[in-house]
Amino acid sequence: MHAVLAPSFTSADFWAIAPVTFLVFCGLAVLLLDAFFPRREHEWLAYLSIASLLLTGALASWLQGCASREALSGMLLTDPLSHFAVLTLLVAAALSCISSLGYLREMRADRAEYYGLLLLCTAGAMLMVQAGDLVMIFLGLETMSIALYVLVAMRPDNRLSTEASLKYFLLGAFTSALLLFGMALVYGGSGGQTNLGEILATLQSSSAGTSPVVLIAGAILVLLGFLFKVAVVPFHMWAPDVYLGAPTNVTAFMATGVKAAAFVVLLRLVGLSSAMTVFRGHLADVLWVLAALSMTVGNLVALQQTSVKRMLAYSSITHAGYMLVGVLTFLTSSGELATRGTGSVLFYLVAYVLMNLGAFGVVALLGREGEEGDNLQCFKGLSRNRPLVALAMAVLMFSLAGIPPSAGFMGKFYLFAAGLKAGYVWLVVLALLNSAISVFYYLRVVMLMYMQQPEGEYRKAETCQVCASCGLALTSLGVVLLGILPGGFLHYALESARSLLP
Amino acid sequence: MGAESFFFYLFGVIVLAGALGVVVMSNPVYSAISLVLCFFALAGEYVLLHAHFVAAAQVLVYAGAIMVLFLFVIMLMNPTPADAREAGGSALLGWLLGGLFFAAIFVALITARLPGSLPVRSEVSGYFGSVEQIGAELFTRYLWPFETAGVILLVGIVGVVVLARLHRKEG
Repeated sequence: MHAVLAPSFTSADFWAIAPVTFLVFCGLAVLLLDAFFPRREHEWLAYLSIASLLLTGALASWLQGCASREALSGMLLTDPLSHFAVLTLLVAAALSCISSLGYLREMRADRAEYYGLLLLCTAGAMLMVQAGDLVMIFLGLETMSIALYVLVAMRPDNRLSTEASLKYFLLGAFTSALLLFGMALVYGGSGGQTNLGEILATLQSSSAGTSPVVLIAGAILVLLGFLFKVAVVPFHMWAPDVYLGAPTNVTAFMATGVKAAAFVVLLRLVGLSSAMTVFRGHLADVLWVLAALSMTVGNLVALQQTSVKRMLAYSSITHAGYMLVGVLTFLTSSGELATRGTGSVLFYLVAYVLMNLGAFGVVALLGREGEEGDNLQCFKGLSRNRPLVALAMAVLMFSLAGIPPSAGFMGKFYLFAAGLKAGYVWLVVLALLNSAISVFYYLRVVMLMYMQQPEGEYRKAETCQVCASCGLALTSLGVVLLGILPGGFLHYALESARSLLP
Repeated sequence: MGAESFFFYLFGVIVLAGALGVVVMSNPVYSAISLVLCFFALAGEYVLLHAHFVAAAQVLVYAGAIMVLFLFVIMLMNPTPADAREAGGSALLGWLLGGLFFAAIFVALITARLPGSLPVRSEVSGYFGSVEQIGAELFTRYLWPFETAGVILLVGIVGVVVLARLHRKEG
């Protein structure tokens, strides 16, 4: 008779899984409610989804006190970093839900499944950022991605949307294969470990007979998978087409929530890689080149775009390049400086999430009768027709360009200060030059809104846009607040970052 | 060469040949049959690793159920065999880049000094790989991934239904 592991499921485990389980049930409830109470318009489900996202956030914050740092034999981490990431994700999902109010009906894509899938997608992303095990990282990523493939294709009879979904699906499958193969190599190379903590312990006691070559090959493949997901050059080819073809509210969530989740996991994996001393130096060189390429290529291509959605897609590649400066700082330094590197990435992530959700929200507001409002022409003279929307867009564009006082400026300041301290002088100089270039295309939108006459008659929206405008007001206020009073929030980001260090 | 490494290489060659066949065959039915071959040989590799349950599941689930579904779908859709000549210049570029990539990996592999042996878990008992052990692991250590896999399947099903109904007229 063999000793069978005794099943153990403590109350601490239950509290740890409660938020994400609640969100999954909300997603199912939204799907079922539509089946039992079908209506022509699905905005009530949007309100329900926003409420359940906020409730999940409240539940996660409330339970954060009573949960231990890890649960379910290390599968799920409830450290401050995952809490920070979960809250960021939930805010991104809720704001994306708000921006879909009205927009989806205007696009003739008002479907109840949208909200259910968005909630399940968010739950998948939550699973991923809370994962303490390679298996859970993969499962979370797949849950999120499969929901996204469908969400991207949600615009009916639209070739761009279908094309975007297919592209995202094929590249996503390719990425998953790389990731899974890498994980298998890491499993073999570390002597049969998938738990992140145990892998770290094996790496630190490197005399334990591990094989660095297999481990390093695995680590490269896993990191590659996540570099694809955060879309840095040269793994960015999918991003502009997918961001353009997807419904704008889905693009908003992909560019913010999904990217934030992928960055948090990337930080965890880079933290593991920094324990491999041989590999660390080479990885730093590679990330240096990727950061420089992402900033420059993203920027130069963004200059030539006439679609605001495409412009924002390329600009998001640039911003991923800026954030890699913080990741590099974390990788190559230790102690307080490493925390500052991670903390600045987290701060920038939140600033970036707010700015992009706002900007995509404005684009969603301008969509009319099945046509996207993402052409630069749509922004001509917007200050006369929609003064408040134009004001919000101007604030967001100033912040994206990194002009004080805004969240974008403070975020860049912390990132580049940490990078300088860690000795990446030339990379920071390049980043500053790129920020200067980016002012041109961000302020072009502001100039079109304020200094040009509107073209043709302004078409009023068929749907009520009060709620979507409120969401816009929230993001712009957040951006300004983070720019004026960054201290408290920075402290929170640094506290969360501290949990990443062993 | 012992019997174990003989069978390892034998199955390995069949897996590779099957996988290559999936990509190279122009008739999708042949591709599917190649995939079945690949799966069967893979099950053989699992047996060599003492993972008998996984091997049986591989044959039953993949080579059996899933491939039958694949074949059903292929025969229902009745696609015309793909014409390789249509690709033209980009196919040449693909071969060129693929060849370069392969050469780079090959050179890297033969120049890298791989350590003699991978870390080995010493305590592999007869209990290893049994249904009992897999069940115990699934419901203790891997409980959370096991439950999450259910959510993935659900998301997949909902997604398929949404996509299938997407282009149907409302009302």
